[in-house]
Amino acid sequence: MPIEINWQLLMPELVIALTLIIVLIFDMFDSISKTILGWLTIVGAGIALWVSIQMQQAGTVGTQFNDMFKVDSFSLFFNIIFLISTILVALISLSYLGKDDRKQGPYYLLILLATLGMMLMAAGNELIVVFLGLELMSLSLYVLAGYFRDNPVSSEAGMKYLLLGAFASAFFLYGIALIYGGAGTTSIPGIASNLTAESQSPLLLGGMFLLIVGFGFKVAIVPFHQWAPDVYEGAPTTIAAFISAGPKAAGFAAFLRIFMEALPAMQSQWGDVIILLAMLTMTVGNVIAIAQTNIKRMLAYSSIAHAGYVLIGLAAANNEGISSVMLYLLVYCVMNIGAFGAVILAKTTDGECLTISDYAGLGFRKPLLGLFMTLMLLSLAGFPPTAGFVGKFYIFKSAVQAGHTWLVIIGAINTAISAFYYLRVVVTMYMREPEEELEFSPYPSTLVVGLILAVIGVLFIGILPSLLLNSVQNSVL
Amino acid sequence: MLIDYLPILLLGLFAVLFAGINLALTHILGPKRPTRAKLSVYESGVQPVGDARQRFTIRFDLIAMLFIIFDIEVVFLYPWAVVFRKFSETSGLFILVEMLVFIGILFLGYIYAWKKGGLTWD
Amino acid sequence: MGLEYYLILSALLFTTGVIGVLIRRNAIIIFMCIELMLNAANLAFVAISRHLGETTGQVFVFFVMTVAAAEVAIGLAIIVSVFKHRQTVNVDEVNSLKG
Repeated sequence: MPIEINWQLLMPELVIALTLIIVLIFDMFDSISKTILGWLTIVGAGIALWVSIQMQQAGTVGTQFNDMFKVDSFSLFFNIIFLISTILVALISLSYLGKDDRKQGPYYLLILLATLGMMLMAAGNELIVVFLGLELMSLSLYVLAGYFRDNPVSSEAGMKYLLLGAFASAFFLYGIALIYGGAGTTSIPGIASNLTAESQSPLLLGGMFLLIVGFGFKVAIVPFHQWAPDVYEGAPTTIAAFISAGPKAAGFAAFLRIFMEALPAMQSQWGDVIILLAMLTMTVGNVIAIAQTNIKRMLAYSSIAHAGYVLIGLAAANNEGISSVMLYLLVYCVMNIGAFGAVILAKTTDGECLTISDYAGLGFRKPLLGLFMTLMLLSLAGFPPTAGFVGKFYIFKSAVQAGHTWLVIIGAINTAISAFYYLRVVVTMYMREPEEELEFSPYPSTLVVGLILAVIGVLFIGILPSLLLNSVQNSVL
Repeated sequence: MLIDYLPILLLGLFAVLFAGINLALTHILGPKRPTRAKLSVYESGVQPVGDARQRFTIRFDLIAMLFIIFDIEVVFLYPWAVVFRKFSETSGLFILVEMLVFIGILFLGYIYAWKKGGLTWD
Repeated sequence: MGLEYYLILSALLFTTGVIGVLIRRNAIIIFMCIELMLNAANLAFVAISRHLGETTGQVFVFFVMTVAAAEVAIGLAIIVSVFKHRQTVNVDEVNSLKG
């Protein structure tokens, strides 16, 4: 049996793997300044992003490694989402980590490993590959969440994430085992073809629900969301931004791949569950977010609510639904990293401003910070002409086309609720007088560059969505 | 089906009885003249010092973790070795290089752990 | 022996693990229960693989074993770092993050 490898198909993954090895080697030598590791990460991810965009435009399709690894417009589009998130997070991390050299190397290594895991999840055409990608991503994130070992809160966030994440992985794995028993294979196209042929066994049904539980934990869907606020609050803010963006997109990518490609025959069973979860997730996320006083916890509940909006698109389960989910995830990643970036920017000499009342009067005293924060929050709330509006619009449109009008009405009510707590921060920034004078640190230039990129992205997609839409609509499964 | 396993059961029974009877016989027949030296823990002739049940330093956990990681990777060598012959005619060199890349990355990780002081005491 | 016996055993092991995670409060024990869940899945994989007469499931088990080992290494490191701060690994006492 001769083995043939099409290296071109694997280019984005290979570039990331190579960057990883280079960063690893550079980190070994004490004589090399560790500040370049972050830049290396950005350059590597940038090259991979460029390659992915080229391949996506060219419509590259192919499978590799005995059909275990599938490159198509869908996986390439998700690669673009992951790599944009990685670049933005690396940019906002450059100044965040401080001068301590020992902290730099492993941090970027783990970010690259997590990115590679996400790319494997999106391209996995076999449940083994999806599982390995998921674990590669999750294991790196557990360490990153607890990265500031000297800080008890960060360690605690790491432990909570680890215990609940590993618990979820076990559910996911058992679900795969049952599906393997029911369908006789773990290959995604294989499951799809076996399913139509034979009657559905209880093993498959059980496996499917366990997969939903596993995914639900990973992307923080209510009722599996409890870890998210604690982890976002305790983890380093850059990592909270990272966890809320790329891994969520990767979870949904694998979710789409498995449920739309392998289990479409069982849509009558999972469709209603998804609708129910979408309603619960949006409502619980938004209602609890109102009560939050810590901005990181508020953003955590907001990101739970956003997972709910994405589920609306999943419930639609048609081509419009898939493309709107992909567009929404791209938009969501950019604006959420932007929002967390603005939180990092609001840094006093004592540390970060974490309670919302700390933001009083910031809008005028720190105009640039006020502008960034306002734009990101408006986009998260879904006001035109920002990207958040475009994303929500297409999600709701696809759900109406699929006949889920009630779901859209609940989504719209939730958008109104969410506007309340997002705008409250904006109002605090511009209309309130500060209770005490806070000493602010100067803006780090790399962080500002990262935020400007996020702002450009949010406004660009918001004003000219058509440029992106064509590419998204060609990328459905 | 199950009757086929009868010899194994008999062997097991025989082993238990043989060992049990011998232990009981020595216990009954053997003369007992205990001295201090005889009752002490046997540690290859060395004088025992202190209790074995003591806490030992947490630094061992790093070594243990590194051991687990590098130990478990060997598991992939076995299936690879099993199928190697099947592929050796057509693309033996390729899958040999593939495994070398795998080992190489592991080795890089080992050097990284070493360089970062994972193997030094203190 | 039929496939069902193995699947029932693996389901029992998995449930034991889930119950353990939910009722035990020591982080290390919770972690061991999660390993039990992973191994329950491994048992199911091997049994099904044997039943179907193909090797995918067994290869899957190799990968799961590696993943579990990596998870243990990372998990213990994180739990040790929590212990250094709190002098406890009881998950009810490690609760400074609360809304």
